[in-house]
Amino acid sequence: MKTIITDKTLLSGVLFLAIGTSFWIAAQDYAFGTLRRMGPGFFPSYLGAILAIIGLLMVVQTLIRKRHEAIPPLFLRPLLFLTAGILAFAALIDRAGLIAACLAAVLLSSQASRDTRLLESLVVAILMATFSVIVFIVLLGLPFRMWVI
Amino acid sequence: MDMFPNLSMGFGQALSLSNLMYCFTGVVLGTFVGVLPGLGAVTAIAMLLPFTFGLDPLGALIMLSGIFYGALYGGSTASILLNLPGTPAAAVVCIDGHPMAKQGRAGVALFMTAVASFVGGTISIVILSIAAPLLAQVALQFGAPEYFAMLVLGLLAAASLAADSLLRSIAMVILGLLLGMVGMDIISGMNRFTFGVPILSEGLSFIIVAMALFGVAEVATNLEARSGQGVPLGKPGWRSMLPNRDELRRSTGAILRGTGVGAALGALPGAGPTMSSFMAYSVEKRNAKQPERFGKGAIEGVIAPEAANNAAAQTGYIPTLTLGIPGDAVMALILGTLIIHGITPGPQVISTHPELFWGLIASMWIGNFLLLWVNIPFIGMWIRLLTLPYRWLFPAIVIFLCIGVYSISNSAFHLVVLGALGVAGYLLAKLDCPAAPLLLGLILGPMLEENFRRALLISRGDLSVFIERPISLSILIIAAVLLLLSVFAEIRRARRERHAALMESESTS
Repeated sequence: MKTIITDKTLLSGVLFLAIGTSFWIAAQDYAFGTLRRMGPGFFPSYLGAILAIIGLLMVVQTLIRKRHEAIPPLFLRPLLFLTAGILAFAALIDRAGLIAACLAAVLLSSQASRDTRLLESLVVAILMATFSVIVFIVLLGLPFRMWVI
Repeated sequence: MDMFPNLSMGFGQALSLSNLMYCFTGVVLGTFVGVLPGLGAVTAIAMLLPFTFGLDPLGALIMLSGIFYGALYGGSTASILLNLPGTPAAAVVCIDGHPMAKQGRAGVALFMTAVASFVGGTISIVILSIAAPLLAQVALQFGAPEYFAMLVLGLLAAASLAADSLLRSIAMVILGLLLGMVGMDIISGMNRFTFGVPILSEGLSFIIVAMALFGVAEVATNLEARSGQGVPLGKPGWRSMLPNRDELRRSTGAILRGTGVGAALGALPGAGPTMSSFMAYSVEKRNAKQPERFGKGAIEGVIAPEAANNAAAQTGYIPTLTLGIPGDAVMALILGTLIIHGITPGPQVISTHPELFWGLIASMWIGNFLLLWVNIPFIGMWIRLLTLPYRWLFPAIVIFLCIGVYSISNSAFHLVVLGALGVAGYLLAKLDCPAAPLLLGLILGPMLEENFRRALLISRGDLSVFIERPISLSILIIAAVLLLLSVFAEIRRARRERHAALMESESTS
C-alpha cells in the first residue's frame, strides 16, 4: 500500500482532475450561452468537466487495482540547467543581444550533463554564437540585436 | 482531373531553383536529425517552422516535408550501427539491423535500408497522388456537422491507436483542446484563459508546445540515459554494401509487403510511421519460413520496417491534405504550417491550390531521389556524425530551440513559456502521458469548436443535426465503435495484468 501514493496512474489522475477542475472554474467567468448560440464558456466548461471526470476515473482505477507502478525517478539536474539556459536566453536576448544570450545559454545548459567539461562548453558556446550571428542575422536577416551595451 | 498534366505542372513548380534548394536543404537536414539519436523530425520541424514564415507556402511545405521523410531515411543508421534508434520509427530496425552490423554486414544493411526507403516512399507517392484527389472530391460535400464528426474520429483514432493507455491519451487530447482555447475566441472575440497577459490573446502557439514537449523534455530525458563518448565506427566500402543474391531474393518480397503495410496504416489517423514499422516487422516474422532467423540479422526484419515507415510517411498526407485531419505529431505540424500561411485545411485545398498539392508531390519524387544520393555515396559522412558526443550536441539544440521560439514574434515571454512547458512535458513523460495527442488536440481544437458551434448555429441548437445527416452519422458510428473496441482491449489487458499478478503472488507464497 505504500507505493500507491507514487503510482503513475494515480498521479496522472490527480493531475488531470486538478487541471480539468481549474479550467472548468475559470470557464465559469465566460458566458455559457445556449446550444443555439453558444458563448465562449460553453466548450471549455464541458471539456474541463470531461478532463476532470477522466482524472477521477484514473484515481478510481488505481484504487481498485492491486498492483502499482511507481513513477520513475526524476532527474532534476538536466531539467534545472536546461530551464536555466532557456531563461538566461530570455533575460539576455532583448537587453544584451544575441551573442551574450547564446554564450550564457550554452554555458548554463551544458551543465545539465555531468560529462560536460568547461573548456569544451566554452568552445561550443563561441561556435554557436558565431554560427547564430552568421546564419540568423547575416544570412536570414532576422531582426535580432547582435550586441547591446 | 487528369493526373499527368497536373503532375507536370507540379514538377514545373518543384523544379524552380528556390524550391529545389528548399527540397535539398530539407532532406539533408532531415537525414542529419534522423541519424542523430535524440533529435527527431518533430523537434526539427518545429524549430525550423518560424524561419519558413517568410517563404511562400509551397517552399515551406517542401522543406518541412523533406525534413520529415529525410529523417526516416537517416533514422535506421544509428539503429544498425549503435543499436540505438535515431528516430522512434527506426526502433524496430535495431532488432535485426544491429546483429547484421555485428556480423560485419552493416554495409549491406545500410544500403538496403536506403533502397527499401526509396521503393516504399515512391510507391506510396503514387498512391497519394491518386487517392488524395478522389477523397477530396467526396469530402467536398462535407458541412460543419461532418467536419465536427471527422475531427472527433481523427482525435479518437489518434488517441486510441497511438498509445498504450486509452484514458491517458484521451485526457491528453482534451488537455490539448483546452490549451487550444487559450486566446481570443473566434466567434465572440473574447479573451479566454489569458490571465491578463496581452501576448496570450494570440493563443498558445503549437510551435512552442511542440518544441517544449518534443525538444526540451526530450533532451532532459536523453541526458538521464546517455553519457560518455560517441562510439568510433568504421566506414563501409562500396563492395561491402552490395547484398548477395540470396539476400536480394528475400528482399524483394519484404520490401513490397512492408510498403503495403505502411501505405495502408499510414493513411489511418493515429497510426503513422512508427506503428507501421512495428507492424511490418511482425508481418515478416509471421510469414517467414524460418522465423528463428529473426533477431539474429534477418535482412527482411531490417528492410520491411524501413519500406513501411517511408510508405506510411507519404500516405499520411492523404487525410492531412484532403480532410484537414493529421494522423500524428509531424502531420499536425504540417497542417499548422498550412494554417500559418493562410490556407484553410480541408478538401478544397487540392482544387483551390493545385500548385501547392502537385508541387509537393513532385518535390517528394525529387526528394526521394536526392535522398538516395545523399544516403548511399555519403554514408561515411553520416557515420562520422554519430561519433559526435551528445554533450556537445545538446547545448546547440537548446540554442536552436531558443532562437526558434524567440523568432516567432520576438517575444522573450514565449521563451519563459517554453521553459515552463518543457518542465511540464518532462513530468508528463514520466507519467507515461503521450505528447502527440496533446499536440493534435491543440492544433485541431479551434477547428473542432468552430465547426461544433457553426453546426448548431445552422440547426438552431438542435443536436440531432449530427445524427440526421448520413455521412456525419456514419462517421460518428465508426468513432463510437473504435472507442468501444479500445475500451474492451483496455479491459482485457487489465484483466490479464491482474491474472499475472495473481499468479505471481501465488508462486511466491
